[in-house]
Amino acid sequence: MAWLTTIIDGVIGLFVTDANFAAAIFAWLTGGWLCLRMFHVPPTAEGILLAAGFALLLAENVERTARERRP
Amino acid sequence: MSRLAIEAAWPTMAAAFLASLVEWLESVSILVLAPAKHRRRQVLLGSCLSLILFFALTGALTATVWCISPDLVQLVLGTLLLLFGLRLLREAVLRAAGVSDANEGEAGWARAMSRLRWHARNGAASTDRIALASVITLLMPKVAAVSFLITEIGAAGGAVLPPAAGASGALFIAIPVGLAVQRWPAPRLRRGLELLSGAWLAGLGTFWSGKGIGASWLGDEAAVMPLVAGFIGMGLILIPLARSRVSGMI
Repeated sequence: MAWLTTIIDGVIGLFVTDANFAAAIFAWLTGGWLCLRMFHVPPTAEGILLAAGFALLLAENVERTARERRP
Repeated sequence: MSRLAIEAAWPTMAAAFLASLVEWLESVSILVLAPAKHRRRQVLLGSCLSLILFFALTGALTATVWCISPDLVQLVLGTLLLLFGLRLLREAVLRAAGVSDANEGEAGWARAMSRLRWHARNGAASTDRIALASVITLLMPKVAAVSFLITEIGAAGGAVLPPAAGASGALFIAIPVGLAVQRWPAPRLRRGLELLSGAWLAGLGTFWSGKGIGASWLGDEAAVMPLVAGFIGMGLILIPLARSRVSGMI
């Protein structure tokens, strides 16, 4: 059964290698969905704010990972 | 195919092509570099089983997602594409900066081969079965990745043909290249393809998941390419930043 576990791990690993990063992406998307329903966001800014958030999450994760792996 | 249809289809076709090319090149390398004594029967059998699973998985996933409401499909598969793309982009940046191992795929293959040699040395009853299991274990995640990509991009974009054509095109390039080169894809090529495909998938994923939660995009479909360009730019900016962080310069 070890080979099955390896395959399942490999498939999950396609989407998630850092659980914190994946959770942050979900949180930003859910936050965006809530904000769209609760506040008035200018339609031209909706997509830009969402994309900027994902880019910032990526930058923070890369910076933190590099700092943690410093020899 | 009309000009309009091609204009609408090419971003998804290119995304599937780029992302599949990385997986196909590594899959061909796994088969080409397998030890000579296991190369014929086990490798052929492993490839056939993986291809059967590929078609079964793609067919089953496509049939499943076509039964679900389009809005939900766009949100769920858009989010999965976003996760896939950002994960790929993150890894490409970390590898280019020297933070992660640049030859992770090759290292996994080397581990599987050393396990096979260990079993052969310790008198395992059938090293052929272990070789077959190794080939399948290494190929399955790659086959599943391409299968998910075709389904996700196809279902979220509303047409499965363009990503399927992109992935098939990548396979037709990967087979002769892999057979001619007979070694693992060069780390620089792999990183470049990962960065490009990661940014492309992240752009498509951001667009579709955004649409799924009800966000509006300036220029609608035309917003995809600026998003892709933005993620490529972000990746290129992050490489020197991560390099300086890991070397302790900042």
